[in-house]
Amino acid sequence: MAEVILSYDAGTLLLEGDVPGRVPPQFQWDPRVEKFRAPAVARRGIHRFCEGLGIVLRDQCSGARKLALELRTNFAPREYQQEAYRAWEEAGGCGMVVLPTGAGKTFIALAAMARVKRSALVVAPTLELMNQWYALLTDAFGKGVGILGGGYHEVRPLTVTTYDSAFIYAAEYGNRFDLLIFDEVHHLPAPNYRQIPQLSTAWCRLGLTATYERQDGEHAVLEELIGPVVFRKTINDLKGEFLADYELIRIHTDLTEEEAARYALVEKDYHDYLKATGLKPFGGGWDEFIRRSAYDPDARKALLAKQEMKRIIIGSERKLEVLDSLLKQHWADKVIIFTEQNDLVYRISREFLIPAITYQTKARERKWILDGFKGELFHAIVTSKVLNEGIDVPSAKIAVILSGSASPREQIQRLGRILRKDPARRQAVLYEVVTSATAEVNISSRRRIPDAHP
Amino acid sequence: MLTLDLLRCRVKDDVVTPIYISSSGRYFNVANQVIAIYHGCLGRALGELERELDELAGSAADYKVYRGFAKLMADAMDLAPPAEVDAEALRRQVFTLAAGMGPLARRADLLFPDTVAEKAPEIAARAGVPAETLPTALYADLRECQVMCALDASIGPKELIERYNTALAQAMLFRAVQMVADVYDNYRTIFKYLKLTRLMHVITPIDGGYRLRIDGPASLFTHVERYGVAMANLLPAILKGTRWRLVAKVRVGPDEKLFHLSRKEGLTSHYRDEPEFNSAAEEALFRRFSRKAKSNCTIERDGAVLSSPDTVMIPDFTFRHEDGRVAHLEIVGFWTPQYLARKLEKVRALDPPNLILAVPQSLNCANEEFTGPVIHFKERLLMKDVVPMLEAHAIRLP
Repeated sequence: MAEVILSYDAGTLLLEGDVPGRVPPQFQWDPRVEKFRAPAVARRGIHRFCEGLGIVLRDQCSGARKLALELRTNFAPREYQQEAYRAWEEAGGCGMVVLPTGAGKTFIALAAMARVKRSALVVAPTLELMNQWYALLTDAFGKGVGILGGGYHEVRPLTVTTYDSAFIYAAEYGNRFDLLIFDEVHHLPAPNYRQIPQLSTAWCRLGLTATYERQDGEHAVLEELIGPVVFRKTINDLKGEFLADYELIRIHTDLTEEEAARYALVEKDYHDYLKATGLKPFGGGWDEFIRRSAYDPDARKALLAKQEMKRIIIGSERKLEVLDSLLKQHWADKVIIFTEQNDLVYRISREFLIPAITYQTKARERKWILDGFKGELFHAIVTSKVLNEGIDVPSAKIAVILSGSASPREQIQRLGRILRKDPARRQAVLYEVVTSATAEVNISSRRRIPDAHP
Repeated sequence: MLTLDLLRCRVKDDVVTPIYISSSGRYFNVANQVIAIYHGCLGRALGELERELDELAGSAADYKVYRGFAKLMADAMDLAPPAEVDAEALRRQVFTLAAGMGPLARRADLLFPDTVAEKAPEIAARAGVPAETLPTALYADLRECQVMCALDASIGPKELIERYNTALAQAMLFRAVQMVADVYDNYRTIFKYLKLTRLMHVITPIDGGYRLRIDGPASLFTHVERYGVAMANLLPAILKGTRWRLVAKVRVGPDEKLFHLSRKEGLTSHYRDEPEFNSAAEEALFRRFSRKAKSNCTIERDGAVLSSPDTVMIPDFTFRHEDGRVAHLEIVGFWTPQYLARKLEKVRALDPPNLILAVPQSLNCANEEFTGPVIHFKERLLMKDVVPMLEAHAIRLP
């Protein structure tokens, strides 16, 4: 009986032995080594192909291991979470699950890992999310979890990583995992990132996202490398089931005189440049501006001015006074403070002596801080925008955003943070502290957001 | 090396060229200034260094050159934490203490009389640090708080500019999807680094040398940039040669452009020189053969590359007869049994009829282990043993 041998070579598969006349899907003759070669993702295809032709396939490509995985944590999964997991399982362990932010996508990942019981890699878009997955997996399975990225290079049968690190090491570790989990899988179609699943032998693949937009091409890439969407629920499908309404309170503050004077000075530089060039500082005009700043001294000066304007607004003194007052008001509640500027995070941490989490915070300390916040140790923590996407922050009642940019998407994702349903929780409040550059009277606008999702 | 964002290049038609800088122009002063800032910041925090560099670059349109110099200097420095303090442990202590003191406000009022400023000295004392250093000590492990503790003082402006130009060509290769290099010497270094960087190659002989088409395993399916960094690491090995040229296909935006490089650009390599000879026997034979006045045969060290899809071998010596015939000689040293086994496997795989092995008798090898022509020698490899073997086994190349 004909027999072929499948082996792994740096992100690709090599086929040797009695290769049939018809070349298997995705395989190509590689004259450099005089063997048939395919990207590692072709593994399932070659198995089907050989079965169909009655060829014995000796698959030596995987370096993944069997694991004894038991979920230790006592999850009471919601019905839709069970459904989503079953849909993925029925699809043969390849596919994507689309659920809104805060709907508990992590459960589906944990269930998949506990089912597959083989080496698994979780890929997250940021170091923050990677650290969070680390804490989650450590708690859930009680096993040593490896970290690849953020200064760690420790690969274990269960490992968490970032898209960037996973890309760099795609060829090196492409055969070490039999289950790939992509958090925020909509990042994957970027040309470099798509090589992560392409160069992997993983038999099972799970993509998780809240924002799966059907875009031609990208859509096809995800289906080919991960699998189809196997389950999808929108925010409206789940409304009432797990979302708590919350109140948004926006507080405007002014600059101090000194800050305002400095602001006016740099603002003039910036506007003079725009006026002189006729550039519009948004959309394509903004890109053009950034491009020009690489070679045009005036554009560079204007860019530096723009950056300083932003710094002044974000780090303004009055904003910290408002924060002081909010912390006093909510002394009995759990408060999470967000700001996108790391400098400001550290300033708040030093001036209020509360723990800070940024992209520089290592996994161990991060876990200590969040555990302390979950427990009774800390009532407030401060963090930079790295907690933006899908982070499973322990439920807080109060969030304060010291805002800079106000892109709607970012806001919604931030808002999602305190939307996690907690039956014992009263109404959550989100404060957005905005600094106006122009001298305005302090306005405090109260607005109810019944549905803050797209 | 530079980071990709510091690359400066120009595109004209199908060709992309890095903007090299001259060591005689105005950048000589800029290089001097950057070096001076680094020397001035020895023993100080990275944050301060960053601010001084920012001031120097200011709104200069070519700040990428300034930043590039700074990056290369940064590669030559060592960092240390600012003090003998475990910042993470200190934070655990301080935040726990502060949390235990009840609400600490920034500004005191009737309900919240205790402020952070008032309580900080007590917290610092209990944590065992002087109160005035608490704010710095708290985040002493942040990158910007790290202190430059050592710096390679040997780098002058001329060398910095040389390093910059080489790093610029390397950064250009970050985006390379394929590279073709014509090389005429320096084979041992090139193939050593080809192996280290795990790149793949296809080798074809060209007049007086070899053409190497270099890419990686997955290049077969798509034009991937993932091997660009490896190619950048290979470049200094190629620069070691005395005659070479290369062309790389480089992704620039959505297009692929060509990047040409040769000795003309005068780039320098920081890779170490290979030892001239691997053994005394090798050196002795080379000297004896070179001294032989009226030879109709020339001797070259590492003068040829023998290859198959599985392996590459660079024999110690290649002899070229004036009638066009060629023979190779490999002196089999002895380090470990594994080494010997690998070498023999290589020879068997390549099996060139004109490769002669020279084996020291001390090696105690049985004759049947060798397939081709073999010279056994005691301590010295003698001309009278070598020359007849060359005559007998040299062949004309196709």
